[in-house]
Amino acid sequence: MNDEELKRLWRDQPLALPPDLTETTQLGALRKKMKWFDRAIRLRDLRETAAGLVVIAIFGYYFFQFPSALARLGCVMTILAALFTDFWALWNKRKSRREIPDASVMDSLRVELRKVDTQIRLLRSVFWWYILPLLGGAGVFYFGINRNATERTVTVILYLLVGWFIHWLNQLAVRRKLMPLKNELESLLGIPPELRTTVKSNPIKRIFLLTLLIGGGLVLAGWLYTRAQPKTDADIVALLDKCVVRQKRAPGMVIGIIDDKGARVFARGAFENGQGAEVNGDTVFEIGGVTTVFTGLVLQEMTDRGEVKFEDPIGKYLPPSLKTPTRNGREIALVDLATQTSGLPRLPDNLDSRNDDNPYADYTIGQLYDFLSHYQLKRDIGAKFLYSNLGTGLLGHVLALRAGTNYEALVVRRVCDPLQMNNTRIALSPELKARLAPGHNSAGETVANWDIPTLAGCGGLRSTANDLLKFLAANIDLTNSSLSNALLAAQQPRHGSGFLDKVGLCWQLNAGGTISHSGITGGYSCYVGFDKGARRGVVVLANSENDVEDIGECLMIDRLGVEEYKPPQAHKLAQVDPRIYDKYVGQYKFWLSSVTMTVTREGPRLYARLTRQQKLEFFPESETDFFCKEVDAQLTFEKDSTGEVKDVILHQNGLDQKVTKVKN
Amino acid sequence: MKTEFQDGNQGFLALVNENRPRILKICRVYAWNREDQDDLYQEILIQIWRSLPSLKEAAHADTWLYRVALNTAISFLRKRAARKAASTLSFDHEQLSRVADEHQVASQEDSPQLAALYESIAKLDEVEKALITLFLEDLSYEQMAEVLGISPSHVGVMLHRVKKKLAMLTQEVLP
Repeated sequence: MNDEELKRLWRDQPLALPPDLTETTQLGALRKKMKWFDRAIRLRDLRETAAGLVVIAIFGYYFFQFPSALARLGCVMTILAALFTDFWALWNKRKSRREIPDASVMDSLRVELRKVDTQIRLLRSVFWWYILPLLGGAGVFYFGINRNATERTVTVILYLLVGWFIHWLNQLAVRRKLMPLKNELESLLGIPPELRTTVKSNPIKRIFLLTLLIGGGLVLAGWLYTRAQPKTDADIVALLDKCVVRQKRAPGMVIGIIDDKGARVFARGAFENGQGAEVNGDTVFEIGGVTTVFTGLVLQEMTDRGEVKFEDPIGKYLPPSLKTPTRNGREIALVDLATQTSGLPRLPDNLDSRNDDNPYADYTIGQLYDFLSHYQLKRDIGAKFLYSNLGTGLLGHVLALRAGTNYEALVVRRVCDPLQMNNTRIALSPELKARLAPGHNSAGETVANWDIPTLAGCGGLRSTANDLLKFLAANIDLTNSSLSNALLAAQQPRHGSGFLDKVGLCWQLNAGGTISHSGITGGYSCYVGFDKGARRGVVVLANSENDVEDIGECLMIDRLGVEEYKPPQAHKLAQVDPRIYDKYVGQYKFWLSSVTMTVTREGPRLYARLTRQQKLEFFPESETDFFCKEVDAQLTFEKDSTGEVKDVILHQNGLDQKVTKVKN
Repeated sequence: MKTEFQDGNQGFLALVNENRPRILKICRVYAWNREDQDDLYQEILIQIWRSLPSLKEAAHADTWLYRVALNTAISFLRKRAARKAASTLSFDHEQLSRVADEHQVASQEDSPQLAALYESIAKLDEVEKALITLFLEDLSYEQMAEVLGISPSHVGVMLHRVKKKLAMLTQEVLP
């Protein structure tokens, strides 16, 4: 066929012509379709930004839920990153959506090629504009809410995997979808293959970027680290002001610092809220769990003298008639008690914790022996760190038995006297009693002092900031000749207590190199810590059960600030018929988690236990609300219309988590 | 305002009604089944409607409609390909056979010659399809150059090549 025949064939072809467009019918339909089309585009944009909006909503919520400054910084970073990535993606799309419908065919193809190029560029750089800002912000947030090294490491690895996966998916889309499209467009435009811009991955460039990234991270971390300066005296005054006056953590608080400038004491507040004598370096406080490091030191001191051996079984010093717990043929040794690896529970179950005001006061040696002779160890001895007040109390008791005296006299003779700590006692002389600041619960009410006759070694001591500074000076400088060997030996790591943390003789050896212990009783909170490298020791004492550990840590570790702090609400015990507990007993499951909560009733007591954790007793505040004394956690049981318990709300760390009942 | 809007409507209706055969032929070149052809037709109408403001300023109003229609058709094909790729991720037989059926380009009313022509055009690339369509529509080299965005002399070279290719393809297709 020649040209004319072809053209005629074309011109005369039969066509099933669509009907004439008339204004009323088709034009209306066309407009409708256009509107639908526009809406579809808007919907698509919305869908693609929805993920960002969800992220913004979640982290906006977190911002108000987590008061720590670092967590809030992380929230702000993540929200800004989500806003930026949404904006960046939309802007790039808008830019490339601008079309010139009546451009020539070649120009249109060029525009289309540019669009594909933009898309390729966006996906190839997805790490920089999407993964890094979002995961970076989320990472900072995570570091802000949780400072446990294990979880941090796991999270970092998880983030790297997720980031790598997103990156891989995007590169796959480039290779599988966009590159063929780009090649097709380039061939249509008649661009010869040798002139085409190829997007090849360059391993050297990638390694360079990765090195840059990791190196940059390390430099940043190092910079943050070295930039941190020890808190000045003015900082400490401001800190006390913040904690006592603004946060109202305690009626009175004393901070003692010892470093190469010497020992200083800072105090704020009084015995009672705004009244009574002002607290100072000689004010006496209960030091609770800090007592254990004295117990541990006595163990070392008596070992050095050859009076006991670390590996001596406890039974060697207890009445011969007493059967002590064993497991796999092994008996608990003295050192197991000092390193919290004896496998003994936190508290003996025959301790009547109903006596809330003074829980250890009525616990007798007879009860202790009774418990020991019946208790079946649930863990191997020496296997796992598990903080036990029973264990350190028992250690103090055993050592006192060996020395033929009581615990207080033993500590005074072996530790307090050599270090001239004349204000560190259990029984207070009238003069010391006059300087004792009354204790307060978290509601600010004055509470009784704790008497711990049998288990004194776990928390019976009372002391002052000046005395504890002497103790820290001896621990840092080791100048006291009679105790220096024992002090040094007690600081040596003996067992792991966390991912990077270790435990010495009762001392906590933290991953950062600091050594510390804290203690809380019904009306007092205490922290002692020292850093031999930085040659600094810190004491924090307060006459309230509100925790002061973070204050101590922030003074020890230059990078840290004091967490925003809300004193926990006070909980009042209510009289409830324990029979109603039966309705609550059962298994509850967390949403999207394998963790279960098991609620049990033992006589008049209600217990809850999370997977792989110790069971904790919960006390009634009302028929449905329960609170725990050992940790700041509350439970609220929810019933449906038939009165059946459907789920329980766990209130902890500022979050309310619903846990659904799965089994009775 | 109102009269202008009315004018716009009237102008659009006149333009579309007058050019229905041209648009429809482009649809037949670029879309291979009735359903896609209808979709493409609608899409071209929408683009014409959207682009109307540029018609008043366009230097070459006579080729304006071809530019809009061809650009729409070419990108329509790509969008449809992407959609199809997404929907055939699971390679079940039904999907594959349906895709194959859609390549029956010619309709039953077509003469064997016309059917062969369409079948052959279907084997060209998108730019070649545009060029041959414009040639069959009896446009001058200058007009074709305007629509495609290449020089008239290049049109000559390309057209020669495409016609040769088309003749060869038609030979293959014709019984």
